[in-house]
Formats: sequence, C-alpha cells, structure tokens
Amino acid sequence: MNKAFLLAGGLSAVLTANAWADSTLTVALNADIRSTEPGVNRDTNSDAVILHLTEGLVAFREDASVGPLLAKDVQVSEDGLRYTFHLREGVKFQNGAPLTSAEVLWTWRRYLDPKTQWRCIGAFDGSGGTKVVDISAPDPLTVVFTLDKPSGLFLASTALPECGGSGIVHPDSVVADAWKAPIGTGPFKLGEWKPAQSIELLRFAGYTPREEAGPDGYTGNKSTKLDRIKLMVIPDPAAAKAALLSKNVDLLIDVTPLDANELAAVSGVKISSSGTMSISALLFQTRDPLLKDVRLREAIAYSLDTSQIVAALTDNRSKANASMVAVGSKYHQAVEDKGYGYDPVKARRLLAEAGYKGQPIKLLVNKRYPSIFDMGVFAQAMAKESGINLELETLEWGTQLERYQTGNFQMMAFPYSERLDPALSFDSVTGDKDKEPRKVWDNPQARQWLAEAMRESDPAKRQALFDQLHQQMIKDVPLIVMYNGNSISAHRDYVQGLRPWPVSKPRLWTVNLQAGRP
Amino acid sequence: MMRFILQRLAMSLPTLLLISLMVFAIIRMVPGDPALLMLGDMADAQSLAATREALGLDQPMVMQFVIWLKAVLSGDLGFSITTNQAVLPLLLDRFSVSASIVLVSVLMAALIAVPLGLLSAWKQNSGLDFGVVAGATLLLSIPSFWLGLLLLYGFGIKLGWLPVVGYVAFGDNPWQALSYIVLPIVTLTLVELGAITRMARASAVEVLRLEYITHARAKGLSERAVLWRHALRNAFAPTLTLIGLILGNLLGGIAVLETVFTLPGLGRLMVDSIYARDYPVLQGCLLLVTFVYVLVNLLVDLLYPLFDPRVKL
Repeated sequence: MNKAFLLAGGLSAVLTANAWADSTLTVALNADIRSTEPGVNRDTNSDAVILHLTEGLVAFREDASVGPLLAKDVQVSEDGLRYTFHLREGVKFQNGAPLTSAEVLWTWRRYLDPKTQWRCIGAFDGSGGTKVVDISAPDPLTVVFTLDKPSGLFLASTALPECGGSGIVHPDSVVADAWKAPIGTGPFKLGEWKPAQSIELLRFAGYTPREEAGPDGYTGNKSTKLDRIKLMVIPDPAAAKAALLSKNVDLLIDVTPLDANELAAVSGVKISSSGTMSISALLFQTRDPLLKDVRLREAIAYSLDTSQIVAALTDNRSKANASMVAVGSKYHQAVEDKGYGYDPVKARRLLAEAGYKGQPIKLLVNKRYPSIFDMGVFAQAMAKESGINLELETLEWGTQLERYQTGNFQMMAFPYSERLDPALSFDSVTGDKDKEPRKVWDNPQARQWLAEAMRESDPAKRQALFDQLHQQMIKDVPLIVMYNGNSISAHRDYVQGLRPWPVSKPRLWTVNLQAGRP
Repeated sequence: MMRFILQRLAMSLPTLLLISLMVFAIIRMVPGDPALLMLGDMADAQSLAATREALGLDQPMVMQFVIWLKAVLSGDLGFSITTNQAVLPLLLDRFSVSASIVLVSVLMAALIAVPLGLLSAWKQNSGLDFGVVAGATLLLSIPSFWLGLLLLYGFGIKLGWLPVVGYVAFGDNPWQALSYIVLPIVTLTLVELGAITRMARASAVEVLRLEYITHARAKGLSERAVLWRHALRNAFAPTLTLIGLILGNLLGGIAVLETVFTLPGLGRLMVDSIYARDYPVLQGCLLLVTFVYVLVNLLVDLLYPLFDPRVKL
C-alpha cells in the first residue's frame, strides 16, 4: 500500500480521533445558549441546557400534567391558597451540599426579587393574577407557599421550561451578587462553556434519582448512563448534517421535515419525531378596516384546506388542529376537533356578503422559520382559488416580532412557542388590545372564561371552560390555528433511548450509547 | 516616517467618530427591539419594560450615544445585550480566530499567486498562460461557501480525514487546532488565489513590456535575473494594493466561511449581533473593522516604497 496514503490515514486518525470516552454524546445545537441562569437571560436552547442541570419542586410529566420532582409530594389546602411541598430526603447539590428548605427559600426569594429579572416573576407577584404572599420553611424538608387567591396554574407556572422549571440552586451559584454558574441537583453538572463553540455537561455522580422505574417528562427517574454530553454550536443546517454524516456529532435536534426525509435514506442514521404543543397560526388584525368584518375572516378560514396544507408542511407528521388546545393535551377532546373545514363555496358566499372586491390583504411571513414562510405561500395560493387576494410580505424575524408586539399588521403567519397548559395558550392570544396590542382576540366574555380557567383547578370545570373558549374562538375567527409543531431529531443508530415528547426540547438523560460506537 | 504614521493615525480619528455615529444611528433605525427578541412571543408589557430598562434602552437615543461614546473613549465597549459578556475581550477573542485564518490564507495565496502570475506573464499566450488564466478565473468564480461545502464533503465526510465542525484554539491543542482550520484556510486560499494571480499577471505583463526590461535583457542578464530582480519588484506594487484591500476586507469577518465551518470568528459574531439587535457588540465590531481597515491601509502605504522607488513617504 502506498506509504503516503498510510501516512494520511494515520494523520487523519490522530487529527479526528475523538478524545472522548464511549459514553460521550455529541449533540448539535443550532445556536449558543444565552446564559446559564434559569429563566433569566434565556431562549429555548438555554432552557434545554438548564433543565439538565437544575430541578424544580415540580415538573411536567410526559402527558403535560404536573408532578413532583424535588418534592416528595405536594399538598394543597382546601381553600387552594396553601401549597405544602415535602422535599425528598438525600438529594444533594452538585457541590455535595444537601438540599433543604433553606435553599428552596433562598432560590425563590431571589426569583421574586425584581433585580434578578426572572422571566416568570409576573406569574407570582400579582401582576399576572396570582401573588405569592408568603414562602415559609416550617422544617428542613418542608416548604409552604401561600397565595393571595386560588390558582389553577400555580404548579404549571412553576414547572414551565421558560422559567427554567423554577430550578432550585445552591446559594454558591451566586458570587458577590453576580450569577456565576448553576449548582443544581440535576443529573448533569455544567462543565466548560465555550461561547459560540460548545457546552459541556458532565454526569453528576452524586445524583439522587426519584424512585419511579423510568423517566416521565421532566420528572421521574432521571438517572443517566452518559458520562458526558458535548453540545456543539452549529448554526448552519448543512454543516450540521455534514457533521452527523461524518459522525462528528451523534444527534441533531430540530431537523426540518425535508432534511429528515433526506437523512432517513442514509444508512446508520435514524429519525425520531413527535408532536409538540407549539402552535402555527395565521393571525388577523381584527381592527383593520377590511378585516374587522368577521365574514371576511371566516371566508379566509373556509378557503383553506388546512389538512392538505399541514400534510405538505410537515410531510404528514402533524395533523391539522384548529384549536389553541394542543392535540397532545388531555383537554383536547371532540369539541376541540371541530374547526372550519374546507368549503370554498361558503367562502365565496361570505366574501360576496361582506362586499369584498379583491382588495389586497398583506400577509406577513418570515424566513427564519421556513415552515411559517411555506404556510404563508400555501395560504396565499389556496385563498386565491376563492378569490381572496393575499399579498405576502417577507420580514426579518426581529422586524416581524416588533410588528406582532405592536399589532401593526393585517395578517401574519406566526409561530407560538409551546405552552403546556391550554389556559396559557389561550392567554397568549386573548386580552385587551388597548393594553396589549399583540393579543389578537379581544372578547370580554372570552377574557372572563379565561380568568376562570386560570383560577380553576378542577379538571372537569376547566374542560368545560376550554370547550367554550374554543367554540367562541371559532365563531370570532381572530386567528386560524393551523397545527401543532413537530419535533424531529436525526441521530446515528448507536444512539438509543431518545424519547420524543410534546415539549420540543431534548431530554438527554434518557439516552445511552450502544456498544460499537466508532 | 514616524510623522507620516502619526498623521495617518490622527486622520483616522474623525473617521472612527463618524463611523461610530453612523453605526449607532443606523442600527437603531432598523426595526426590531433587542428586549423583544430576548423575550420572544411570550413578552408581556411588564417584562418588556423591565428588560428595556435593564438594557438602558429606555433612555433617549442621544443620551444612549453620549453614554456609549464616553465609555468607548475610556476603553470600555460595554456588555453584550445577549450574553452579558464584556464586548472588548469578546471582540478580541473572535478577531483572533478570523485573523489567524485570514492572515495565513492571504499569505499563502500571495506566495503562490505572485510567482504564478509572473510566470504566466513571462510565458504569455502559451499553454501555461492559458491554464493559469483559466484556473484563476475559475477560482474567482466559485462562491466560497460552495467550495467550503465541497471540501467538507470530500475530506470530512467521504474520506473522513478531517473534522467537519468545531474549533480548537492553537494554545489548547496545536494538532487538533490544525485539523480544524486546514479546510477553512485551504478554501480561503483558493478563493483569493484567483484574484491575486490575475492582478499579478496583468501587472507583470505591463512591466515586461517596458523599455528597462528590454534594456536589462540587452545587457545580457539572464531571464531569471530579469524576472526576479527587475520585473518582480515593480510588478508587485499594484498587487500589494490588492492584497491590502483583500486583507482589510477579510479581516472584517468571513461570516459565510465561519458559518460553514462553525468557527467562532468576528464575522459570525457580527451577523449574530445583527439578528439579535445586540447594539453594543455590533457597534464594537464595526469600530474594530474600521480600525483594522485603517491599519492595513497604513501598512500597505508603508510597504509601498520598498517595491516602487518612485513612491516617497
């Protein structure tokens, strides 16, 4: 054999050899994290990383219900004002210190201090409805939260990923009043974070898992077989695909349906996907001179064959859903299945009744989310068949977000990030436009139902309220909900144990690497 | 000489001030709110106001500019809105990545292109000349990202000789560092090779037609001596200007290549800061790029007399 070839081969082996052990999982992240502080300077990647490092008192289960995590159990007083959390014994922080109610108190007081700029403070300081009036620790393993009024969302708000799951951290996470690094109780601890390059998570040897047989959403038994996770920041999708093909990374998260189809055909690569609770929708400005006529909004809704659009957008991975209640939610029942249906004849009749003469309607789209752009294109083409003149205007994401926030649009294709409780989903679109122009649905009756749903904790009563909200929304047509998103991952075949779930964030503690990994 | 350098540096101060003012104003005219981008679609009025206040965006724009300028004059470029990192160390860190790739690539391209251009001019209208011109035109026409992806596919995926993503600093592990920057350097060298070769050839063709070259040949000097001693120096001067422009341009960031090869360089930082409306980082990036341009041009001016004796400083 040629000596030069041997030399090149040997050299490449030296150069590309992973200096990592077999139990190191390498994952591609499409953008760097913003910080390591739970729920403060955050985005979806930051939340995903944080939720491997820290744990809250409660967390979302796989069915989007809330269950205990650091708490052994949660007791709610009869008046719904006192939540008593009994902590699990033997739980340790990543610095070896035991978890007690003192750390829970310290963490929560810090979260509720406006100086911390915790993203979720509004859900607990009264500005968003409920106020935590007192947090006390009667003994080292008990914490009691007292609210000013009953809330059906208190536990869910506590568990939200965007709040960092209200992760409990050790006071040593903060040095001289400044955030240093999270010292949590999660199955991984933070290794080295090289901004714009990689984030390293190391297995926490002293992790105390729950007693359940296996993981369940963000709770359950979260023990891991991985020693190390390396999250590599790879913004370019083509480079990320190349990295997977060359085995430089083991797992790609957030793959488009188009790329998934291409990668599925590659030997040694597998695709996993699951529906999430994010919502893609076409929003209307109901105060627009043209679109304030509900008949015109209805006509647009009837002109769209949403099943066909969604099948094309997601490559049959998602099905159309006209409701703010996500398909994966336990509150999505037969009532929520009822949408508009495709009826171009009815659309034309409504247009005639509304006196529509083909005036252009501007539909804002962006290219940061390719599916949102495509959704706009499909909607434009289908609406045209019924004589509706939608004009697409493509904006950069930052610009579109500003137009959304100020309500400065006629129509907009928009992705709502996942809200794990239907009340939070409805809350994202329902409100007083004078105070919050981004809210597309300004109906006093709906606001009242929503307020009740936020207070109520009885599932049957909540279901009835969500049903009413859905039916009214279909009548008012402030937006056309198209579908719930899909989380698609591509991974090498030696990556086992990936468990997709309704939250589009990976849970890497469930992963193990099969023997024989190169 | 020193007076010339000081004069030029002093002249760059108004440029930098003007640029900083323009950058400050233009980036704020672009629609989009950094606080809103941080909070996303979940932004409520209260958290939006709190974030704006924390970022100092609630102040009048003039006040924001004065505060920023005062800080810049004392060497403080502020903190990133997105990651809260200090801007100056962040810029220097990212610039070192871009600069290491750009300097090596341009040097390699120049070392190959200048003799090649000279040789091609010497053998004008020969097969070699046509080959060099065709090759240079081809390289000039290939988009850098496409060439990069092609090399990634060949050497990273098909042959598996080099890693396709990642970056290791030279100080951390020289061997691994090399493996990560080989492909970006080769890509950039090939892309710049085309432009420099064409310029070197054109300059050499012009010089080889001059009377002093005929005179040198008439004196009985060997072709080698005519070419390397007499033609090269004069032919190189215009090429040096081009190299200076290329260098200034590339040192400002090679965003596309940095994205393809996932390098944490200045170009990617700049693009990210535009999308995130990270004003302090973007302002810092553009100030740095302007300053680098000024320095590179000054360096080219200082080197010019070495190659063209008609130029005096």
